[in-house]
Amino acid sequence: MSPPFRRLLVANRGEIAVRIIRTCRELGIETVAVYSDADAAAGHVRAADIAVCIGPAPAAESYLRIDAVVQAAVETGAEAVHPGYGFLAERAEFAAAVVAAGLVFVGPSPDAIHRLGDKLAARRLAAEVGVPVVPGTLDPAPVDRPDAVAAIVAEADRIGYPLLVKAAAGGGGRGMRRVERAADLPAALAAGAQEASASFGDGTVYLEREVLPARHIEVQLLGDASGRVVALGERDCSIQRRHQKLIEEAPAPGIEPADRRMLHALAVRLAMAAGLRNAATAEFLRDSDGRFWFLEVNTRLQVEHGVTELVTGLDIVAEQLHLAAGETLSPAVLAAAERAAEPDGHAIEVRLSAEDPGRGFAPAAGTISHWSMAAGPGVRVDTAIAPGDRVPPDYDPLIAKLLVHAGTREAAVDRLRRALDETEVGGVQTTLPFDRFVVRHPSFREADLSTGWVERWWDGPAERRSAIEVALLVGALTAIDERAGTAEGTRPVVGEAPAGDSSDGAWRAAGRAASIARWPR
Amino acid sequence: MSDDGLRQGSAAVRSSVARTHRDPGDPILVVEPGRSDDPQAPVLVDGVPRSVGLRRLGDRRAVVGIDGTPHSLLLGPARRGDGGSSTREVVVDGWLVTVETEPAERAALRDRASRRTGGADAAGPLEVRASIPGRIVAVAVAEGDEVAAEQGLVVLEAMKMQNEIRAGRHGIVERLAVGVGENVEVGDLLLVIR
Repeated sequence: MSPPFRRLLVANRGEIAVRIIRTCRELGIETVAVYSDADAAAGHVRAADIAVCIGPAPAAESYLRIDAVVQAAVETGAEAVHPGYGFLAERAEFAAAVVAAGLVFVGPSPDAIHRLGDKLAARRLAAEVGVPVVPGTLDPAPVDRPDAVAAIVAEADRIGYPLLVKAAAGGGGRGMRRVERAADLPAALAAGAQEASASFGDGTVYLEREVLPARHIEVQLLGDASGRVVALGERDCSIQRRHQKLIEEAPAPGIEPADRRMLHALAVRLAMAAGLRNAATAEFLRDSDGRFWFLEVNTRLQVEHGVTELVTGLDIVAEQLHLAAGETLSPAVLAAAERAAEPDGHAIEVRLSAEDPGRGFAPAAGTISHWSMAAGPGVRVDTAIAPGDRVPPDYDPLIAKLLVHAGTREAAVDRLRRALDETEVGGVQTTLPFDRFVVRHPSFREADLSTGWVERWWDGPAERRSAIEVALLVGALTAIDERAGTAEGTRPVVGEAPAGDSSDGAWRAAGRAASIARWPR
Repeated sequence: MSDDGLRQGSAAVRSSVARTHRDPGDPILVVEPGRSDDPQAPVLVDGVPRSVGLRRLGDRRAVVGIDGTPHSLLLGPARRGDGGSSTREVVVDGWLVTVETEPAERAALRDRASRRTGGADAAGPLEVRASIPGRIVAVAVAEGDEVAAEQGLVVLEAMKMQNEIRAGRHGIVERLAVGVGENVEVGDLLLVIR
């Protein structure tokens, strides 16, 4: 089959740019990367056939510049532009600029992005077609307008506290603020609007009730130019911290096929009303009574699309490219949609981010000194990182996604535990300790999932402290040995592995045995 | 010198104090290896005997068993400082810890010295530095302002998240070293509180 395009520009960076480039290579499509000064040697630049510098490190002066990205596409002869997620992916004016330049935008139409990608417009549309929406406002909240404070406080009282200030252009928790009482509302509106403006170039915010306890469940959608839209199944993304997803899985555990069908149908109804083409995801909250509430639609590829790929056997990026070239939904997609309510197998993804889970997941930029990713049966790693790479402070801290696939959820959890134990990163603090904690936790194994899970179970400082004591002890022993050298009368504290034995597992057992044998009596 | 003297001498030389490069609240360990002629002797950690087995697996990896619990490790190269001190990165169970070690007797000398100047230290200037690289998006204080402990000073945006830097203690802003829009690296001076 001939490739859907000859050359495509990827308007993104990091793991998602590399993931898109991989599919393009398989389909025989040449790729163009764009990069900022901070990314001149980054993984997505190394992976692409052609690379174009579009500006300095700050995203607002490079990856968020519509004119520079479109110009790079035109000048390199690209026929299509894939936006990935984040940056310009959900900006209708970007999609429109790509189309106006005579190129194909890989995603929904500018019109559908505007209708669905604007969270407020999507809430209004959902309410119109009878999809239950989370209680909140349907119009932009006034920011920095003292004359409107009384009105918005009254509106907030009607919705009820605690509530959330959310960015209309938002995603991933950017621009979001939790508000517990009226007095904090004006400041939260201003702060949310400023962060939204910095992240998305649009400071519009609105109010929504916080549903707790809740599970975050979302539906993967694909649509073609004939107006047909199908659901490829749902994902559970409940393990979040401040609305930033940390762990995602497919299918959502513990949902009856009938409820699945109903949820998928709600998502498809909304997408069809919006004239959706290409890929999108409809996000819902499931409350403790099992009711689904519509949150928002993301009119783009999701970070966590890979778990759906593992369960369905599809390459969603490849399907996006064929759909963007004007093809109808493929037989493989239609077959997967048929099975969506009763899927086979289970997939889980953890997001490995350059963040410190011992300090409230604060960003932890730096240089990767050691990088060894898991492999083996049922394991997939999406990353743009190689040893020696710098994780710049200018962008999202996600550095890799570790995905596992197995026949059952239980087997997938076991596989994830094994894969996380194989994963080694040096030079930058990552969320790895948190991921290892979650996968070993009984409530995760029992699929007792909730958006409040992290707050309830994770005590970062305590976990970090016990690791610090081990690190200090090890650091002291190696320093003692290095100072003492091989001086006569001293015994090395640190043993060397004998030549010929390189089995890590065997040595772990040996370390345990040595330690037990030396227990003071 | 008798065998005994040699052992005691070497043990004193070999004791080490280890601390992290980060939070002041992090623990500090005093570690002393067991008797050099007894392979079964425990390591003394803050004077308490612990059973420790450590095996290097090549240049970067190691496994340690502490009181029967194994941990996989990554060991970074040691960066030597003065007076026998050294710094290295240790990754334990996914946690990255920068460990600074120095000989116990040197640490004791330093402690005594700092205790003599301890009173002055508390009243002296407090330098507030960037703990992450990023961009200054807001400055809430001016030189000469009085600030309370935990009061917000500047907002540092890194990885699209806003991080508020707060005052470590009460005082007067003596010097403001950054302005809105400036980029800072780890360790850059933000301001000084006196």
